[in-house]
Amino acid sequence: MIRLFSPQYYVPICRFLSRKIPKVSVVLFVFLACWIYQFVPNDQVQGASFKWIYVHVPAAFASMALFSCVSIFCVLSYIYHIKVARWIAAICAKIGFMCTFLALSSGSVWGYYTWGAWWVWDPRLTTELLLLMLYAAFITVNQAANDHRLSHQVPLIVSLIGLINLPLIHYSVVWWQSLHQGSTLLNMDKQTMPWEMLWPLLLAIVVTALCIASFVARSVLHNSIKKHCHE
Amino acid sequence: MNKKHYKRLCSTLWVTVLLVISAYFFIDAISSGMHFYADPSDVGTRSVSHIGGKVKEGSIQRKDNHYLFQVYDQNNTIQVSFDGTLPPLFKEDRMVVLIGGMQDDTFVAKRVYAKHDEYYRSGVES
Repeated sequence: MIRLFSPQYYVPICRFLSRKIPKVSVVLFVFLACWIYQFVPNDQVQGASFKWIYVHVPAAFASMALFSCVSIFCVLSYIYHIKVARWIAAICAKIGFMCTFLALSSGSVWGYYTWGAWWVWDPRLTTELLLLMLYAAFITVNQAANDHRLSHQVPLIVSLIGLINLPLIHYSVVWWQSLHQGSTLLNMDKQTMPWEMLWPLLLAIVVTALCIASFVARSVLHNSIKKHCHE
Repeated sequence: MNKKHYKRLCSTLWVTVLLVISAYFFIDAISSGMHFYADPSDVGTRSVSHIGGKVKEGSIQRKDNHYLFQVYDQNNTIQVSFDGTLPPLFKEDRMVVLIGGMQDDTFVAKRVYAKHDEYYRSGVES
């Protein structure tokens, strides 16, 4: 497994991801946008404003998945001292920060049209805001560690603290009474959503994952070229 | 995996275990205060500022911007008064969350939020 982090493996993988995937995801994105705009029916209760789910849920999923990536790659880079893992953790944190911000802002617009408020101090919203702050803390501390002003153990510990926040975000609507609705996608056995609404949502999550993979690959290639030019 | 790697893996696991234990105590301590709203049944037992319940059918009375309605759960029904604009999803038999305080027997709401569930249905409501 660890061999995957040597240039003879990661360079071709990253080349493939950063060259082919953006073209595929642009095509999928246009297709998806037309599908959602034209063919997805409105919700009975929320009307057209429910379509914010196609921005909000992929962004929120990505924000949580990316923080677990940050922690995993931080741990790997600490145990095995792999440079590539450190690069991946750094870029995942930056993209994750943007995704968290997107999830919070799209959620607040959605909330304005359904709940009647931009922001409430609801457990789900508060823990997600905490995640945004942890991302900011990680990015800052990681930058300082890369400049040799801090030990690399500090970003590791920040990422582990953030990892504990992830189940808190997920269970915040289960353990506590909240204005935010429960999970739709992870409750599929209860028929929470008809297939005509669900397919575009699953595709949106896939497109988001592809975009993020290509961004990460591009950043890894960039770092690797920069490193080899200096040597 | 050589000895150095094993040592660093163990220290990471130790830190994680300690963090999980401290997080458990932290969450256990704040857990009861994390609820965004209380049920109408809790109104008599303690002072509450956030109430969430269903709007009773046929209880909404309107005079210009002044609304009177009732919110209920299994055990209790509460009279609510509100001045202002209601959110678009406010309707009979739907969940609402109210922020305000009790004055005598009525709950005077400063803000009303509509709560929707995680179920989505296509089509127009009948």
